[in-house]
Amino acid sequence: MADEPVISPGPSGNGKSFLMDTTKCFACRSCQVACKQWNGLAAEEEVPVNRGSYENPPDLSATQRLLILFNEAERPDGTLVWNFMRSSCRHCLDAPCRQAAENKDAITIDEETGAVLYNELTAAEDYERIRRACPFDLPRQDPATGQMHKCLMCVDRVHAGLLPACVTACPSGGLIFGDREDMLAAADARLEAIRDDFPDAAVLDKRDVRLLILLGDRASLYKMQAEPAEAG
Amino acid sequence: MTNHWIDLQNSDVILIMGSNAAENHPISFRWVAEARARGAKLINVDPRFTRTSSKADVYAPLRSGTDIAFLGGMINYLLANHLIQEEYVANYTNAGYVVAEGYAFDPSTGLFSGYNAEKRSYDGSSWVFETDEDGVIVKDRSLQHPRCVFQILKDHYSRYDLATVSGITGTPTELLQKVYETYVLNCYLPDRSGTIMYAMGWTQHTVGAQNIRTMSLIQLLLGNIGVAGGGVNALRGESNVQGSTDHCLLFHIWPGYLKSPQESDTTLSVYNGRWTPATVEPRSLSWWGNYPKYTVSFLKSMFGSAATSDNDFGYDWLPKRDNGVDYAWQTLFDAMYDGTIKGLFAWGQNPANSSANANKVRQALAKLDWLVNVNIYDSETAEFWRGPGMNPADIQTEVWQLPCAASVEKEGSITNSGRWAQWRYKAVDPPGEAMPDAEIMNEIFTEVRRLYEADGSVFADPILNLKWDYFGGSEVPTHLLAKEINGYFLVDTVVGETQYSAGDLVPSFSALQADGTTSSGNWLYCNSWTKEAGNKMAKRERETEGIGLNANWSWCWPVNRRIIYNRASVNLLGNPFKPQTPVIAWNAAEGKWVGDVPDGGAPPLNNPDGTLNESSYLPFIMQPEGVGRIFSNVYPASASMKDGPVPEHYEPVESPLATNPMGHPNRSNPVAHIPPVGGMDLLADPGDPQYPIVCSTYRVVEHWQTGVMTRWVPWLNELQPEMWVEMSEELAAEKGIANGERVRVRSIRGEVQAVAIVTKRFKPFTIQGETVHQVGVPWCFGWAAPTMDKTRLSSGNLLTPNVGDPNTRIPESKAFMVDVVKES
Repeated sequence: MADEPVISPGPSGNGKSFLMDTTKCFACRSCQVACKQWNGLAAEEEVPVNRGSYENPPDLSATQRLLILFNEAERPDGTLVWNFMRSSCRHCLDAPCRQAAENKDAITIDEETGAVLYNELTAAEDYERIRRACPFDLPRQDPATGQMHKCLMCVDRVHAGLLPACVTACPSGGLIFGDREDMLAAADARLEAIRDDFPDAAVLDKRDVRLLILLGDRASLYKMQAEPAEAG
Repeated sequence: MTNHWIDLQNSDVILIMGSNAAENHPISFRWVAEARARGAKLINVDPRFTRTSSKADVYAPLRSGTDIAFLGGMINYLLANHLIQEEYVANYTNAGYVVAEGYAFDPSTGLFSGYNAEKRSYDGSSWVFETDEDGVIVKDRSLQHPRCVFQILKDHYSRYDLATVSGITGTPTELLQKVYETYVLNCYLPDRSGTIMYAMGWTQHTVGAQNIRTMSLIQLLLGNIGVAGGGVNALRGESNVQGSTDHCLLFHIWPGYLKSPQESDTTLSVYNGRWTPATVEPRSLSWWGNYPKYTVSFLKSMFGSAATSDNDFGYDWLPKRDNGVDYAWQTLFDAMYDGTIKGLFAWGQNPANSSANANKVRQALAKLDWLVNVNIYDSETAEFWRGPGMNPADIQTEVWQLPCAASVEKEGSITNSGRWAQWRYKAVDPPGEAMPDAEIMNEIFTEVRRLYEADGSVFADPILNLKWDYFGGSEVPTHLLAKEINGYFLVDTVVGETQYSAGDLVPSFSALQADGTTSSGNWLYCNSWTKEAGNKMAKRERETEGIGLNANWSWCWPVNRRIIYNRASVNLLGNPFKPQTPVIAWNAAEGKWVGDVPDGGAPPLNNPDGTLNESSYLPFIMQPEGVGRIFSNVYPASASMKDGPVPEHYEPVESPLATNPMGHPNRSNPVAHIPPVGGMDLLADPGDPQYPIVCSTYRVVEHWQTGVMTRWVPWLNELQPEMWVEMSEELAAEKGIANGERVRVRSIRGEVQAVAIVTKRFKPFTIQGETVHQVGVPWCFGWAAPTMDKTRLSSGNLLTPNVGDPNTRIPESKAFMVDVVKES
């Protein structure tokens, strides 16, 4: 097995990307915890509750910027699947949220990585407008400050030559990060390798986003967005 | 593990059964994924579809407690189709050994010969082999003799046909067939290997040891033990539980799996005699013949210069067990409950939640005079006196809390499941008054010794003679302890051509002596810290090419042998069965083995011309017969399986069935440990309609064991916030329970409050033609954290029974009966 990928600091032509391989992820959610730990974010609820699922907290928020979504379903042949999906900013190359922003300084694109970054100026933006502009409904607002939040690709770490916190924490090999060309190549190689076992495998929106998600099954067998429910 | 974590990558097929590796040993999945990337198949068998199942090529459900039936069907399949590794089976196992005429198994009673119904135990003296006039075992390597092990096995498992097995396990026959084919066809050929990853899902049964025996038997038949990507691999449940077992955490052993003595072992020579096997088998090394060297060296380590041949090296200063009495976990807590044991150190433990039938254990704590809780966090054990059902005013137990250092706050070794002892360093000081465990022990012992130094102390010898010179000097105490464990020469000695002086570290256990001239705290750890190489546990050299042995990364017992029984990985000429991942190979030109540290350096069993090499020896060097035991014969007599030489299916003590579906009257294991029913020791009757649902407990990836260390972490709590019970959509519909609804789960011993998770991942079983439901609960929750809420009944072990395996006394936490009701 190869060593951990090493980040090459400094600008690279096409920036960075994540590759999340759902055929390897087993939803330990180390990524979810690592995100909060690195970013110093508190737990969502004082006394959290179980809502009839392993999936928790119930939704993304200003302090919950990464959520693993669980889905039980049956394939057409009747075999059961339990599929895991990552909900967090995809870091779109054309960043529709930025296009929707009145003040382009509130949402910027990091030159070195291509990460889409929100800053305190987002407090002055129209939250609903920004959120609606996101094809994946991912930005969330801090009700206290009005500032909007989402995954920032740990650009502080990446600029220092470190992997994003979620990637460092992943034990499965299902989440890797690096130069975009390398991640695209890794995705193609993986698709090729698993074609027999996963004939429906595909990478979601691979030309448009920096969070590349490789699905093993057809997309309808994954939960694509959190569906917050009241506690039972 | 016979093998090690990284070696999983070399498997052609991996069976995960009795464990939930993705959730409870997540890092193992890195190597499972590597094997799969190389083309391996992954099979998962579990009552519930888990996060492990989500990654498997083949998933099959089975009812909890029916693993022997499931695997018995696999044995039947591979024997009926003759899918065995023939060269291996004929030469490296006892398949061709002829069993004595007195042995019998009666399928109409389910009993082996020698059963004593009154004592609920076996006299195994008939479970032996026929011998010739010289005492040598009679063998038929053609495997045809009607009383040879192979034929006995064929006969025994012919009863485990697909329909019979399916009627017991609830696994559809086509899925059974698919699992058998996927496993066996991918690994029965000599150049293929398959492995098993198991954990508490196999051990925590009244047939726990036999569950593992059944798989060991399959692995021997398929030639999978000793080879890369093979073996029988126990995924240990704590990061250092392998190390603590090696160093005799359990009552039945001294360090290094030497046996703890009992009262009838009146002298060292009686004791050594009982455990030192003699063998007349040709070419059998019978390594335990060295037993006295290890016991004497251990005693020298304990008592230093006070241990002399005149006083049996201090043998009488160590405690002896009462004959026939066990001192297992449950027995100890029963003794506290009965008032015999008055004090308890709960050291890094949370018995109030981790013990089966936890209600009784909590009551036992209330009867103690004193309880010392050593932990890095508060726990339900430390706080038991104000827990559910307790009135602090009624409890006289005095409770102390001693905060200890966490792993990164002290230096020492940790031994992982693959037997790798890895040295680790202190990163930060412990907070506040917290101290490393060893220093806490030193303070306590130093005070105890001071008290014993007073005149009139009773039997002060063990305390006053204990060699205890590790603390207070210039050298780090854990360095001195690690060296003591390795052992020293106590007189000037020449080994081979090397001169050692008194006080030098011994290079290997082969240098240990039974005359008091060497010491070793644990013979298995000899070679871990040597004069020549220093602390090998601290080695950190990553392998750049090879099969992943990583011989210079840390150190593993025995003598850095990464895959044990590795002389069974080669054929009679010393050539690897699986040449693409050779563990060892004979280099004829140089006359030596290359690769891993071999199980002894003797040349291959056959000469190049095919004749026997009389100076060689058989590969299973720890057995007096030198071969792998398919039939668990009784030798030495006291070391045998307590419940039969060949595994048989018995129902869990609590089960939905009133009879054994194998068609005999012994429903559950006839020698299972079952305390007298009554008081707080209650068992549901077989088929009791009040408790119709099978239940199992399990761990989760988000919390660690009882959650003592993780329930204080809000980030982990929000991942898995509170007690739940998983159930099928069908059971929920029957009970009118909606997903997310609050329910109670009840056994005859206790109840828990839980949130219902209604899931497709449990499905009803069809058992003996009837629908049987199964549910499951975790045991990581408790009332003391995250909220000190004594109304919370949330530990899965409030439900579990304290019946146990006769060999190990582990409780049957993985199969018992409950009901689920809506919260009123």
